[in-house]
Parts: sequence; structure tokens; C-alpha cells
Amino acid sequence: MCSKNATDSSSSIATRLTVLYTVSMLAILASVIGFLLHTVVKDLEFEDNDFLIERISSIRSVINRYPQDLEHLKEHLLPRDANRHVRYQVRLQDASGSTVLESPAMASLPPLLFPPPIISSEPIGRAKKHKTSDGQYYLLNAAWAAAGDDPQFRLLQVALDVTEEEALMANYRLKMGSALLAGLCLAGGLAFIISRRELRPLREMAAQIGTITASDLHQRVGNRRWPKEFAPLTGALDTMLGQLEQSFERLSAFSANLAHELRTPLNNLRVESEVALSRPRTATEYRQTIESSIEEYERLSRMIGDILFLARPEQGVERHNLDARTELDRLADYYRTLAEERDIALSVDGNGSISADPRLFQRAVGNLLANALHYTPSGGAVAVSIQSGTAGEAAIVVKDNGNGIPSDELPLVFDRFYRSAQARQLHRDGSGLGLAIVRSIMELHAGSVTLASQPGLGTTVTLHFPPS
Amino acid sequence: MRILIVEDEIKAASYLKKGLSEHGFSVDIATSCEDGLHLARSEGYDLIVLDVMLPDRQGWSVVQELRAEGYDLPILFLSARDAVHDRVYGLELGADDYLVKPFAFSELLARIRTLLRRQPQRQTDQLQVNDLELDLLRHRARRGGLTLDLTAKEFQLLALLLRRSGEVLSRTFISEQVWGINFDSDTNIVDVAIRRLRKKVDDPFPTKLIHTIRGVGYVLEERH
Repeated sequence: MCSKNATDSSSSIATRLTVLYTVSMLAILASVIGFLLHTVVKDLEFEDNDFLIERISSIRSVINRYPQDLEHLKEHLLPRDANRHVRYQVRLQDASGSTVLESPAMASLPPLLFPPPIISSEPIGRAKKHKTSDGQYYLLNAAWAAAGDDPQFRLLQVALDVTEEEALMANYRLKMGSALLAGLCLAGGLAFIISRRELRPLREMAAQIGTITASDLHQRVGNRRWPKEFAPLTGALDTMLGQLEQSFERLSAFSANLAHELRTPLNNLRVESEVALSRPRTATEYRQTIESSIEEYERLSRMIGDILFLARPEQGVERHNLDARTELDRLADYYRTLAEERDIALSVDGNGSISADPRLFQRAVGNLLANALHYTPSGGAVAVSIQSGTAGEAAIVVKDNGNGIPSDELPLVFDRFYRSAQARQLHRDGSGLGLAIVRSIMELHAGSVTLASQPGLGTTVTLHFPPS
Repeated sequence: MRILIVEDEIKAASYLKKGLSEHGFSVDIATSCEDGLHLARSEGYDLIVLDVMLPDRQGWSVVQELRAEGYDLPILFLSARDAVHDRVYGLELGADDYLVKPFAFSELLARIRTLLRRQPQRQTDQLQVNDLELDLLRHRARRGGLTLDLTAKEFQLLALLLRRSGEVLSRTFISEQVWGINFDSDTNIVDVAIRRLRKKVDDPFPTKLIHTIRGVGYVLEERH
């Protein structure tokens, strides 16, 4: 249910890519097309303006040369053949505003439409665009033409018919707009196809991961070619799978070992009782059977206690600031009984304070001392020392000069129930849980345990406690 | 002394009754919380042994109700769960002590005796069993007129056995009392310590005082 909601509310990457890609395409196409249209319009206008300005100068010079020769002007300005289409129209007025001469088409362009005229010493400005009521487009400009020393001898108005150009531009705009639209549709479609195609490995990976079950955790995701961007993902997934596989293996080994370890005491109990009952016996014999049973029960209950301890990671840890020396002396007092019995020197060295749960601290160090004493031959030495670091961290080092551990067994010694052949021989009652409990205790304290050993030279175990 | 056992498992209830009866207690059994509460209110018990996992409701409520009604008799609860918060919870509700299953009967007996010994024992300076004498003040142990040469821990161990003379003490209890060791170690240190103590206390003398209860622990007493 949860996952369904999550899928519903989150957007799809393919959709988002498509939208973003299309929007980008819109921006790119629109600016390119806009720029092109703008350039064409500007160029046309520039050309038309130039044409009008050139006309104005040319007419000005004719007027200046022949101020009174109207016929000459007419001939020069108006088309001789009335049917011929002329692109530009002219109107001449005198200073009082009465028209001296005008092209026929000028009738639809009253003088007031034109921009204010300028005299010849001023630069001629841009023409004004005008749309007539019958849909014709004109560019309008005006100027004074001088004669003699009169700068405002004639008012000259020129109009250029740009209707065709306008139609052409409108046509261009329409075509460009259609091109833009078509481009966008194409871009959107392509974006959708591409993003779906490029996201296909994701679906394939999901399908592949979906096939992995608890029984085939040896599978890996990263063993085929994925896009480069998937490398961190496949790497993380494979690391996780590796860890899961390892945990599963440990767990099943643990269950198998557990069943195995439970079998031994149960078998002792059962067979011993059966043998005792198989024929009448004396009270003493029955008593011995029961006493032996109690020893097995104790072994079983200690094992259960240890397993429960390991199974509960949420163990309440009550940390106190402990004087490590006092705690170690107490433990050494206890284990010295055993050490003296075996003729092993047991020493405590150093001072320091440690933030730890007193019971758990005792149990961890106690397990290490018990191990050291079990695997050190008589005449050997076991030394416990406290090493305080500068940042408040501290370490408890338990060092013996005993049998040591072969290097191939080192990675296994912290595993639950792991017991080497040596351990089985030297410490028959051991459960194989001692170091696993030590490690668990150190994890509860956010610390760690390290072990170094050389066969024949001895073993050193260090408990690292972080600063409190 | 009258003890009420509230325990739904018939087998457990009957062996507890048998064991406690044989140690001089008068024992009644209730197999549910309701029965337990009823009996506790109507009879004058000196102590209740309560299993907290009962069919009708949690054993905790028995503690709660009895305490609320003003009964202040000691209650010891038994539990198969030893999560820390369970213990703390039980003790906070007003229980006096707890034992986690599986427990040793000797442990239960020792704890019941401790709870019933409400007044702190008169602290004597002299302890004596048979011809063994301990002077706690001077830290001196003598047997048959001879001074025993004991180490400090050996003296403490002997004093514990003598003080609890006649009670079977488990190895765990001894480690805790003498060395302050709070966890169940699978070493035989207590056995070694007792063996060494015996060498000094029992071996030179014809009457043996320290006895092994195999699988359970040790007891110091006169046996005839």
C-alpha cells in the first residue's frame, strides 16, 4: 500500500525529461526563429528607408535646380505611363500648405499622416509605417526642399508601397510558426522515446533484482554492462547483497551450530537417564545420575543465557565512569585463583577511567582473561593493561604468551560457536560464544575489539573504548 | 512461614511446593492471578512467589493491586524473560526480587530466606560451627585451637560459608559475594578456591565441614 502511494505521488523521470526537453526546444527554436524574422524585417526596413531618403535627396536637388519648372518636376517625379505600377508616391506643397503636385495614389494618404518635415541641414529620420483603410501598407516620410536661400520652399512628402513586403513577412511568420510547432511536436516525441529507451536499463535492473531470493544471494547486479551512471548504484547493491549473503551464511551456520551444541547436553541427559532407569539401582547411583544431569542443565541454561544476550542488540547499557584499575584489580583477584592453580603470572598495569556498563565491562574483560588463562601453558604470563589516549579514548589490552591462534583461524574466532580444534581440546566446557559476546559488548559501547596473535608466541586482545 | 506460589504450570508449581515444603515452609498454590489475589487477601502469607506470565493476565497486576491495597509482604517474581526493562518494571511496581528461568532451586531458596529475614541480621563478630571459629573483627580463623593461615579472599569465602551455614550456596552467588563478579562465567574458579580452602580448613581435621552439592554448589555444615 505504501509503495503504491509512493509511486502515485512521485512523477516519472521519462515524463519530466520529456517536458524539460520540449520546453528547452521551445526556447531554442523560438529564439532562433525570432532572431531570423527580426533580421529580415530590419533589413527590409533599412533598405526601404534608404530608398526613401535617396528619393528625398534626389527630388530636393531637382527642386533646387529648377524651382519654378513644374513640368520638369512632373516629368521627373510622376510616371509618364499611368498604368505602370510605381512603388513610391510623391506630394509637393508650397510653404502655405497648398498642393503643387501629387501622385494619384497620394489621394488616400492625407498630408497630416506624414511625419513632421525636416530641413535639409537636419538628418532625415526613419519613415513612418501606415496601413490604409483598404489594407495597403505604406512607409511615409517628409522633408523640406530648399530653393535659393529659402530652406522651406516646398514641402515634400513621399510614400512607399510596402504591401507586398508585408504580405511576404506575414507569410514568413506563419511558416516559421508552423515550423516551430512541428519542431516542438517532433522534439517532444523524440524526447519521450529517448528517455524511455535510456531508462530501460533501470527496468531491466529492477527485473534482475526482483529475481534474487534468499536462496540465491550469491547473484550480483554489477556483473553485466550497465550505463556508467549506474556504477555507484550497482556497487552499493552488490555490497549490500554481499553483506546479506554473509549474514545469511552466518545465521544458518549459527542455527546449525546452535542445534548441534544443544544436542550434546541433551544427549547426555537422555542417555544417562535411560541407562539409569534400565535396571534397579542403588540410591547413590540415582543420586549420581541426577547430579550429572544438573551439570548438563547448568550448561544448557548458560548457553541459553549467552545466546539470548547475543540475540538482543537493544540490551540496556547503563554507562558509568569506571575507574578501570579498580575494576581490573577486582577481576584479577578472581582469576588469580585460576592463574595460581596453573602457575601463570597474572598482572595488572596502568590507570585510567572508562565510560562503560560495569556488568558488561566485567563480562568482556572476564571472558578475555578466561581465554588467556585457558590457552596459556603453565609458567606463562597474562598481562592486563590500561592505555588512555589523549582524546579521552581508552583501551584495555589483555596479552598472553600462550599458544596463539593459527592465522587461518583468526577471521573466525569472533564467530558464534566457533571453536578451533585446540579450543575443543584445551577447554572442553567452552561454549564458543565468549569472543562473540565480547564483540557484542564492545559494539554496544560504540567501541571495538581487535585481536592479534602469533602461534607459539601468544595472543593480544585489545578492547577500544571511545571517549565518553 | 507461609508461602503462596502463583504459577500456572502444574509441574513447576508442584516441584516448587515440594522443594519449599521440605525446607520447612508451608506452601499454597494458585494457578491464576484471580485465585492468587483471593488467597493473598484472605490468608496471611509471609511471601509470594509469582510467575509473571499467567494465562488470565499479567502477573504484574497482582503486584500492583496488592501494593495498592496496602499489602507489604515480600513478592519475588519469576520470569522467562530477562530483558532489562522487564526487571526494572517489576521492581518499580513493588516486587522485591526476581529470578529468571531457568534458575537453581538453591538460588530461589537463598533469595526467599533473604527476603524473609526482614530485619538485618545482627552482625556478630564471632562465627562458629563445630570447632571452626572465625573472628571477623581480628580477621582470624581458628580450628581445633589452631590458627588457620588464610589469604584475604579465603577468609571472605569462609566467612560467607559460615554466615550462611546450612544453606547451599551456588557458584554464581559465591563469585558475586566474595569477588564482586556479576556474570556467570563458565570457569571453575569457585571450585578451585573451595579446593584450596578445604586444604587448609578440612584436610588436616577428621571432621569435614565444607560439602559439595554436585551441580548445585557448596554448603558448610556439621554432618553426623
